Amino acid sequence: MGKQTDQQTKVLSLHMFDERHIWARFCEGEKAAFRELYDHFYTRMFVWGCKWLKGEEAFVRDTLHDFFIYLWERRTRLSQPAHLSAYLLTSFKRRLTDGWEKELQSSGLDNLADQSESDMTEAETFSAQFALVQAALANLSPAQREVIEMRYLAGMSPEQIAAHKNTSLRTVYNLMHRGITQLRRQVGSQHLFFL
Amino acid sequence: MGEFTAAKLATLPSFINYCHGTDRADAAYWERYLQEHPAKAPMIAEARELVNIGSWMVRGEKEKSAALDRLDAYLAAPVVARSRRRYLPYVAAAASVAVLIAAAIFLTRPKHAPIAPVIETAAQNARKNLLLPDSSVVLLEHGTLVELENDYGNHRRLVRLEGTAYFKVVQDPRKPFSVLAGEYLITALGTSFRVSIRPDSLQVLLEEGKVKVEYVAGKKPELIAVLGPSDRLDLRPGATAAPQRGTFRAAELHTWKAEEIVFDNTPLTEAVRQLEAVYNIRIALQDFDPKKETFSGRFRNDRLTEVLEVLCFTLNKRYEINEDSTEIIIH
Repeated sequence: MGKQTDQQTKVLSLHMFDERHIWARFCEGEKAAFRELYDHFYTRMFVWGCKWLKGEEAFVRDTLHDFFIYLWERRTRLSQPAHLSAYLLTSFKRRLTDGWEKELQSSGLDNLADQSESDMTEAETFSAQFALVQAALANLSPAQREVIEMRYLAGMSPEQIAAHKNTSLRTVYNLMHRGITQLRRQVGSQHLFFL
Repeated sequence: MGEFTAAKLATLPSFINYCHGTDRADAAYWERYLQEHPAKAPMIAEARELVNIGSWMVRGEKEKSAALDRLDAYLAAPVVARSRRRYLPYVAAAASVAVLIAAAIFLTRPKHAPIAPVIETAAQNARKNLLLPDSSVVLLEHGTLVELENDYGNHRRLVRLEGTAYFKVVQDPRKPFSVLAGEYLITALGTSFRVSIRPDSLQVLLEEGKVKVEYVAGKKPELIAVLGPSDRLDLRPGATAAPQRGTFRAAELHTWKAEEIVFDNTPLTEAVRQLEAVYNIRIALQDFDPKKETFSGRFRNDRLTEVLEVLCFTLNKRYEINEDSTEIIIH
């Protein structure tokens, strides 16, 4: 139970994360702020990058590292963006797609030079989706989450999971069932999508 | 099926299997479902997206600690000093102007050309850029003071200068642009030039166009020189005859202009004008409203491409340079 409270606090603190303040400290050259910023945005930006370059996770990971270094090296010249996360996402996407084109040595890809209006909408839509999935996963117990991850995100069969975790098939099914119920309750309480 | 939302769908084991292609029967089921309910395609796509996000999120979470270690390794590495461009001796001389400015206040103001200032601008401990009402651009060196005449732009454009400033003047034949520097009046004819006035000397560097320099402390103005592009004029105070005229290299002036550029929540239109002046290039903005944007940044001896990169990064735009490098388009 304690763990669950921890995780709820974690989700809460995501909303409490003071972007403006941390960005200002980052621009002043504070290494701790740099680390915090990276820590805070890493997963979201990694997922976002994978969304645009499906199946190129390694490239996304390296570009993400380079992108943050790039920001850090130019920190004294950066201003305070109105929406930090949208700003980071859209600039990263641009770097990623440009970099990937160079990687391919071709301009076969769409270079996605949209206007910022649609860039913003895109980034905001994604952030909403990301928050939904994150909240859904955050409310699982660690054991439930592990099984759900193996079963649905890594595509392992219940038998493989049972063998891997050295537990009974029954336990795996129970955890899965409870996990799924929990996930549904979570997403059912959110009305982000009316599709 | 009932009324499903994409989010609910994304929690269905069979649907997740379909997304990952791990179960043939599930995949066949959902493909058929999609064929039978084409209207549901957007929702299916949305649900697939959520499943993908979930997979990548798990992967990202797992990789995060390694990524942070890599970042720490970068931060722990010694900082490699970036090579800074050497100041030219000439530029060092320009910088020393700041030290002498205090004394410049004692320059006698000519009685025949009084100027009732409406705007006074002084660059204290940093360079300062001004956009005059007629869109002319002025770059002020540290400690420089510029005053605008009360009715600047009515039938003439007159400013008074103490210190060193660069002017890029918008052409307007009907309203001559003049700089009053001590006892001298420099009148431009649609042009860009730099004037430096100190207690013991006046220097004018002309980049483009034409200027005339007159001595205005006497009864009537005395013409001293007319300068053309790349001309340089150095005068001792009180001199009324044309001294030796020299030339300067464009690169020197360039270096001086790019030495320090500071934008502090500057309206974008203004920032762009200044960059045009510093880098002698035209910048066109396409498909967006620059009035809504502001820009902050500091540049020291940076190349134009570097500045553009930061600017575009901040605005979330791209830039292109045309073939003969005379124009930049930001869109």
